[in-house]
This record gives sequence, structure tokens and C-alpha cells, in this order.
Amino acid sequence: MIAIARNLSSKSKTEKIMYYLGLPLAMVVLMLFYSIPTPDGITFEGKMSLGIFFFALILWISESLPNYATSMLAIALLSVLGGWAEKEALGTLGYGVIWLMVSAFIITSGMEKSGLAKRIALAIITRFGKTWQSILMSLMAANFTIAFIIPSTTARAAMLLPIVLLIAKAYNVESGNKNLGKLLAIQGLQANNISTSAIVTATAPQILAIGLLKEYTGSEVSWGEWFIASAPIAILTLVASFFIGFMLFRPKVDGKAGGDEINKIQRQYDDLGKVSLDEKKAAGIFLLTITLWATDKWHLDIFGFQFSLVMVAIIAASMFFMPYIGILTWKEAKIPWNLMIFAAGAYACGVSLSDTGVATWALSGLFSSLGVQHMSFSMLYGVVIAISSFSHFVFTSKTVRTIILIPTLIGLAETAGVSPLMLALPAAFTIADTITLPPHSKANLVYYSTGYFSVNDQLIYGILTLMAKWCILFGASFTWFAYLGITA
Amino acid sequence: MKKTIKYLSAGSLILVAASIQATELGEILHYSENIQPVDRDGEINVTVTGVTNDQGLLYLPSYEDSSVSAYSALSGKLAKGPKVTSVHGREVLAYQFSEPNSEVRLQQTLFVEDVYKTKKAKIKYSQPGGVKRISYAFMNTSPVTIETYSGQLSVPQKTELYGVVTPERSKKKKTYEIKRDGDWKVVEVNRKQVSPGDDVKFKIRTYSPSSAIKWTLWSLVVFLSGALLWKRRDVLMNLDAKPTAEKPLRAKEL
Repeated sequence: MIAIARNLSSKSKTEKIMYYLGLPLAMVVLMLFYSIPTPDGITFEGKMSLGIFFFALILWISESLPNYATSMLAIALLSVLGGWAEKEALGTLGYGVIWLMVSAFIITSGMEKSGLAKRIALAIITRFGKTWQSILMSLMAANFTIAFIIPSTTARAAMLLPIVLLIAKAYNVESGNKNLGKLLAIQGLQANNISTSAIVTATAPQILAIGLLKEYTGSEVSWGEWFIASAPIAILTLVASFFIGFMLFRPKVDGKAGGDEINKIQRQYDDLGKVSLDEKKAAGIFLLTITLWATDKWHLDIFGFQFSLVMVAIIAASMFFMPYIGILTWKEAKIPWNLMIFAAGAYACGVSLSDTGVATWALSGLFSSLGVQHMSFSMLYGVVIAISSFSHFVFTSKTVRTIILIPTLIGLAETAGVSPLMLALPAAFTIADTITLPPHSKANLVYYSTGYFSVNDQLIYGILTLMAKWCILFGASFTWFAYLGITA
Repeated sequence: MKKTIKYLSAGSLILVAASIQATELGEILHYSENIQPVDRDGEINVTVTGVTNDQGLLYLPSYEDSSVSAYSALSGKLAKGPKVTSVHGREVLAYQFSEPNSEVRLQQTLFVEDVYKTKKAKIKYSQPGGVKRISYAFMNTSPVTIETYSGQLSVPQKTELYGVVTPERSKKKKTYEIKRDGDWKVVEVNRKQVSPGDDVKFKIRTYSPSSAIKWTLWSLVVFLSGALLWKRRDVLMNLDAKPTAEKPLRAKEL
């Protein structure tokens, strides 16, 4: 079973206090929500879904209960206390993301059993990984590069997961080098999401954002214009993420110590010998999966059928069990069901906020209470970017966030008397900034499944990286964006 | 050339027909109603902006099991109070104004029976006990299209608005708004072009959490919190113990 709640003995002093107080605090917060009158603008369902979201958030962060137990409680509470209909809450276990994760773990198991994942990981380390720093940088570069061809953050995470796990194993993460595990996993998810913001086609909500911009303002933003404006921001944020991670979780091995390990890894790589039949089969299935993910726009033209991202993963996973071409039995597939339960609960909390209208209410309330209409452009820009970047706390779905955020900002810009593009386009560059908590993106959940980091680790690292990105975006408003004519 | 003449003739015919209809039946430019509970019945305050027909009549939608308790003209001179009459087979309230074919504003208050008659909400499976539903439908029984409609259904005081069933929530557009209007929490629905015979439906769920349940839950939470803090007190005693390395299980499995 994957460890998504750590032992008490491995916690720091602060984490122990959080563990001690977490559950009582969560219960009191939930009861406060139950007892207070429902605020204007939302329903009792909305109020309770917000209360249960905070209840679960406190427990996930404090780790006062195992995360899967919190998720199960959250699903039950949503139904019983009226936060969300039972059918909807239970239905989250059938969401595409759960199937995708099950399939990704079967594919990972196949890659591991065949030895192909180990070969790829060792090849990367021996080629590029002279030190663990260069390994982290190569993984970041890999994340950025594949964002051009695979238009899904989740698919990219599922693709890199086996490699990350093997690299972690090679660097003895399991023997106590915990910080390197944290860096590999959290930087992996940050690189995944931040790289996405550079390429408009790397995730569908960004395409939706430029569609909305065109619909509401008539301004067209091309693939190239988006890339020129956003890629430097994404690259600088990746650099910031690298150094922030280094400061927060400095691995125990120093830079030079990697040399001995690399030699050992080189020997391991040489010992692998020729590519086996099982590796060829696994490689064939993996390549087919990537090809199908990368060519989803042309499926109908090529095959006469459309395969969604999830269906491609399910087909690929099932191929690992097929006679002659498969290499796995069901018992060999390591599927972490506790993670699936955690993900279902996390989704239930997030989606119920959106479905009951609380997310929209919170966002519009925030904008109006800050009085953004009366601010100077710099101040307005700073506030808007901060809100749009951190609004993923209440919106689990990037698509819903885009649908609500972009038209709201266009309206706000018009009220403030500035060009809508000046606020809405930089805000659109933050759509993929979903890096603070595991349920904020499917890619996060895939990396969280490694068990290398806690919710708290991700939260602190994510907030710091987003603050760095905010500074970069703010600086760009009077430099790069002004030069490009976005904020001028 | 022939085509242009055809289009022009068709356009002119439509304009003439619309103008004849407006002259015969008048117009309703804006219809706003605010529904508030009086026990299980409802008091509906209506404000209308319309255009009288060539006889000075303004036809307004009628309500079943209702009586008009007050009315006044906000602009225009009212000659006669409301009269229930039938136009095109539907019952309407006809107000006689002194000025034909002119814009008028009118306010009326109606007392409608059973608007706030509650029924047990149909929620499947788990739910808090005592959730009720209130349904209200406004039907445009008048012979003309209402250009803009705005309806505010007030939530009975001392109850929570549990949820809004109809209109259904949409991610693409705002189908309703929850607002405060003085002492009342209201569900507001705005529509354009409500044709004759069309209706605007409201279905809300209300809930009054019992104070006995609240106190029981609070007692349970306080008891459980105290018990947990006591049972886990050893955590506080070992606060300064150094964290030990823990092997991530996933990596261990590889």
C-alpha cells in the first residue's frame, strides 16, 4: 500500500502539534459552519460543502487522520449534512481521473516488471545525471519538452511516473534520502503544471481562455503570441522552483557525492545487457499510448473513432494483461486503492464547491470586497494576478475556473477603464498554476501517489513557487509584457 | 431585384402585424414580481411597465386562487380597476387607463393561496431530516409577450435556503441569483421574452436545523475532541524527539 500518511515518529515538532490539534479543530470548524446562518448569495448546500472542504483540508494538512479516511468521511459528510447529493458524491470514484490513475499504475507495473522503466531511468541518469541537481534539471527539461506533443498534464505525469520512481530508487530515497524524493516528486508536478502555461495547447482550458478572449473582446491570441509572452515567465518560474526546492528540501547527499552513485548506476546500466522481449512488448505498448495521446486531434480522420485520454490509458493497461502481447497478471499490478479513495474524496470536496456555486460566490465576493475598481493599474494588475493564480484553491476544475475567471476579468477591466487583454491574458497564464494541493490537479495526484511528500510539503513549496511566479509576472507587466504591447 | 422586393414585403408585413397586435392587445415591456409568504399563502407585489391598447386597456397575467388586494398607477391615469376577462381563451386581468396606446406603469398586490404550501423534498438516500420544498410557477396568461421578466421568491424567515432545484444551475450562464432584499433572502430569476402561455418555474428547498440536533452535535464534538486530546497526550510529551527517517513504501515496493 502506498504511504499517504506518515508515521508519527517521522514528524517534526510543528507537524506533531498539527497532528495533535488537527482532528478536534476540524470538527469544531465543521460544527461552526453547521451552526452559523447561511451567508447571502449561497445555499445551505453551499455552506456545508465549504465547511466540509475546510474540515477535510485541515485533516489533510495536519495528517491527524489518514488521508483516505478523511476522504471517506468527507464523502459521507457531504451526503448526510447536505453538502452534495449522495449520488454525486459517490460518483466521484467513477470519474475519469480515477480510471486514468488505475490504468497509469497498471502501465507503471508493466514497465517495472519488464525492466524497461529501469533501463530508461538508468539511461537518463548515466547520460544527463552527473549529479542529482542535473537529474532534476533534466526532468524539468523533459517535462517542458513533452508539453509540446502531449496535450494533457495528467498524461505527461503518468508517462514520467515510472521514471521518477526508478530514479528515486537509484538514489536510495527509500533508505532515508527523503528530501530528494520530495524534490523529485514535487518539482515533477510543478514542472508539469508550469511548463503547461508556456504552451497554449498543453491543456484544453488555456485554449478555452483564448476562445473566451476572442468571443468577449474580439482579440485573437495565436499559439506563437501566447508562447512568446508566456514561455519566458514559465522558464523563469521553473528556475525559481528549482532553487526554492533546493532551499526547502536540500538532499543529504552533496553535489559531488552523486559521482560515486553515478558510477554504481553506470555499472547497473551495463549489467542490464540486451533489451529483453518483455521490454520490447512494454515499449511497444508505451509508444502506442504516447502516440495515441499525442495524435488525439486526428483520431477520427485516422481510425474513424475518437479515443479519449482515459480510454487510451485503459486500452494500454488492458494490453498488459493480453495473451502473447501482455506481460502482467492481475496480482502483479500494484494499484494503490487507498490513493483512489483519497482522490475520490478530494474531488468530491472540490467539485461540490463548484456545483453549489460557492466557488463563483467566493471569487466575485473577493473582487468586490477588495474594491479593485478604484485601484491604480499596477495595484489592480497585482491583485488580479494573485487572485487568479490562487483561485485554484476553490476551483478543482481548470475549465470551470477559466469559464468564470476570464469573463469576470474582462468585465472588471472594462469597469476599471483598461484594455481587457491587459488583465485577462496575464491571468490566463496562471490557469495551470494548480500546484498547491494534491486534488488541485490530476497530475498532482499522480505524483502524490509516490508517497514521497506530505500535503504540507506540497502546500508550502507550491505557495512559495506561486509567489515567485507572481513577482515574475508583476515584473513582466512593465518590462516584457509592456514591450510586447500586452500591458502598454 | 425580385428577391429584395420579396424581403421588403415580408419585413413590412411582420412590422404591420406586430403594430396591429400592439394596437389591439397592448404590450408588456417589463413585469416584475416579488413573492413573500403569509403563512402558507403568498403575497405577490407586481410592478408592470406596459403600453395600453387602442382602447386604453392593459392586459396582465392572472393568478389562480387569487385576489387583488391593492393596485395603483405609477404613471398614467387609471380609469377602472382590474377586471377578470378572457382573451384568446385565457383569463387575464384587464386594467382600464384613460390614455390609449401609451406607456403606463402599474403596481398591484395580489393574495395567492397555497404558494408556500410545503411538501417533503424528494432527495434520495442520505440527507438531513426535515428538508421541504416550495414550488411556484408564474404563467404568462396575457395575450402578449413579456419583454423582460424578473421574479423574486422570498425564502420563509427562520428557515435556511437549502438549495435551488429549478431553475437548474448552469456553468455557462447565471440562471438565478440568491440575494437579500430587506429582511428577506430571495431567489431571483430574470428572463427575456416570456411568450403567452409560457411559464417561469421556481422550486426551492428549505431547511430548519433543529436546535436539539445542533446541541447534540456540539456536545458530541466537544466530548470527542476532549477524548482525542486526552488519548493522544503522549504526542505532546514526545515533542522534542528527533524525527526518524521513514521509507516511502512505494519506492520500497519497486
